[in-house]
Amino acid sequence: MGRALARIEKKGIPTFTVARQGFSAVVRNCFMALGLSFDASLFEFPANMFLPGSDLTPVEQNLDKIVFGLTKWEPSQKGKPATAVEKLSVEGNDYGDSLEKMNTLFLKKGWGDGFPLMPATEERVNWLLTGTDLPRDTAVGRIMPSGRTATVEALAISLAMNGGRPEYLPVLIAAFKAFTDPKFRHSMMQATTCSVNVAAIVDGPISNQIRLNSGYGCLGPDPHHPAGASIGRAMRLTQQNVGQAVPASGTMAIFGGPQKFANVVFAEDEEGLPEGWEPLSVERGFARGTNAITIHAVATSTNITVIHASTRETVLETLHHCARIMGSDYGNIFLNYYEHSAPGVLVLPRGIIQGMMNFGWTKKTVKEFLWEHSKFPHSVVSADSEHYHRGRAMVKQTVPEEGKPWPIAIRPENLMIAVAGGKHSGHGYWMRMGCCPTQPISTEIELPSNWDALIAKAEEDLGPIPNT
Amino acid sequence: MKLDVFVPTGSSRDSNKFPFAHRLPDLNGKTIGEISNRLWEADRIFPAVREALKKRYPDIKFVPYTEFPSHPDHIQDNEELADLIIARGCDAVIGSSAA
Repeated sequence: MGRALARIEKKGIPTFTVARQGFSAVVRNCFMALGLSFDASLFEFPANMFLPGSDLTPVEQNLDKIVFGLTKWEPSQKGKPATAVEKLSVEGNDYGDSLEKMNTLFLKKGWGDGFPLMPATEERVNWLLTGTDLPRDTAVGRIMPSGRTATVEALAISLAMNGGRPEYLPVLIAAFKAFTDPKFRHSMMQATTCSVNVAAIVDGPISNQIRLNSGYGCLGPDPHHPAGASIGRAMRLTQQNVGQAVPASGTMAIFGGPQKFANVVFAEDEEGLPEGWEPLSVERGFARGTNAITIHAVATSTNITVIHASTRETVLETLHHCARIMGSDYGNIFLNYYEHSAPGVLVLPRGIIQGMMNFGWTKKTVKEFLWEHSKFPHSVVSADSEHYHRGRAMVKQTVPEEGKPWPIAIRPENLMIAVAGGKHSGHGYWMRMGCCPTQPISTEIELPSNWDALIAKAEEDLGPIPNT
Repeated sequence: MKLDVFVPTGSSRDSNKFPFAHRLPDLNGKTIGEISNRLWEADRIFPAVREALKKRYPDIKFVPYTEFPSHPDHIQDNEELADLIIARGCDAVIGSSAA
């Protein structure tokens, strides 16, 4: 809503925002993001006023504020000059003391996440910038809600702050190219009350080269495969520090969620794919072997417990089990009916996929089965009046006819399955879409000309690439 | 020991390019557009704002939020709504933000 008001203001029509208590920074960010300053004509009304059956007397009591906002208000930051990336100095008794002071200062300024930060010094940032051939001031995209620009340098700074390495930078840059694609609508994702994070799946040889985990523990911490945590946290720090998506001012995510600390960045287990099962990147239009990243916005993560694929019957049980989980919660169901929308990311280990294929299943038939058996009964969806009516009004050309069950996507092909999680079977993982992309986005990862040297240096520093 | 570090907030080179609109001299006789995503009691709050302003400015006119699009697809990232506001002759706009 804030961006709509900012667009109107830019056309010369004054606006006033009836803001809920605590939402003024979100609105001001919208105006700044659209090229005005960090301000807006608004008044914060009590949060309770926006709840059912509320007392509306604050409207009349504060009528002068509305009148003032439309007739007399002026922005407080007129013509403040734009700034480039800046530096600051911190002084302590020794390195440890300086680092401690820097961490405290960064928390005070709203630039931390509670975990320790490394110093983004000139030397360290320059080292990380060897991970790209792009000039450091190249704009990768503007990050909402602030609308500030994430340059290649700014991404390297975020990477420096959590101990990243130069070979991670190409993935981080590609991730933000995808993130700022208008179809991803990251502005909504950043500011929403939905507790949503990025899920990123990388295909191509780069995954193994940079030690991005496709195996055991791929969605979580792993000292032998640190790339996912580092890239994901650099994403989050950029979302927060450049985009100013700080809880309770720039991002209103009610719970935040544990995956917001470092998003979820993992590799597809391409080595474990049975013949005939295409990698996700190929499905999304890249040649096999291309380094590519696919991102989605996810809000719910569920371990799908005890699934097998050792007999025809257990394969069927597994598919039913997955479908039941996928069809248990639709979130904002109207989001599911965009042309290329995906309802979430289903992660299955190679053992399950191999078992399915042994009994004649293909990626296409697996998707068709899951799509058919995860539909939401019409009675359930229609009882949810808010989502039901918004869904119907918004995408009437694709939502099902009255009375029929609602599938989780407009067609089975839209379901997204990534293979990862190690050599065993036993569990799957479902990450349901959150607010509010129109579709997942895939981007090719571009390597710098010194790539082989970077990987050789990584091997020298970290030892041989683990064979797990 | 001194530690020089980069500020991690990126660049603001795309901000402060546009001015805010001039405010109106008076609301009497003016047309106010209402825009809303229809959430969080908008159906009660907008009529309350409308009635309160009408009491003070008898000649004020409104184009109610029900006559404008309300879905994020139509109001967030395109010019459709702003153009519609102009087409409907609105002199100012009141919106709500609570989602």
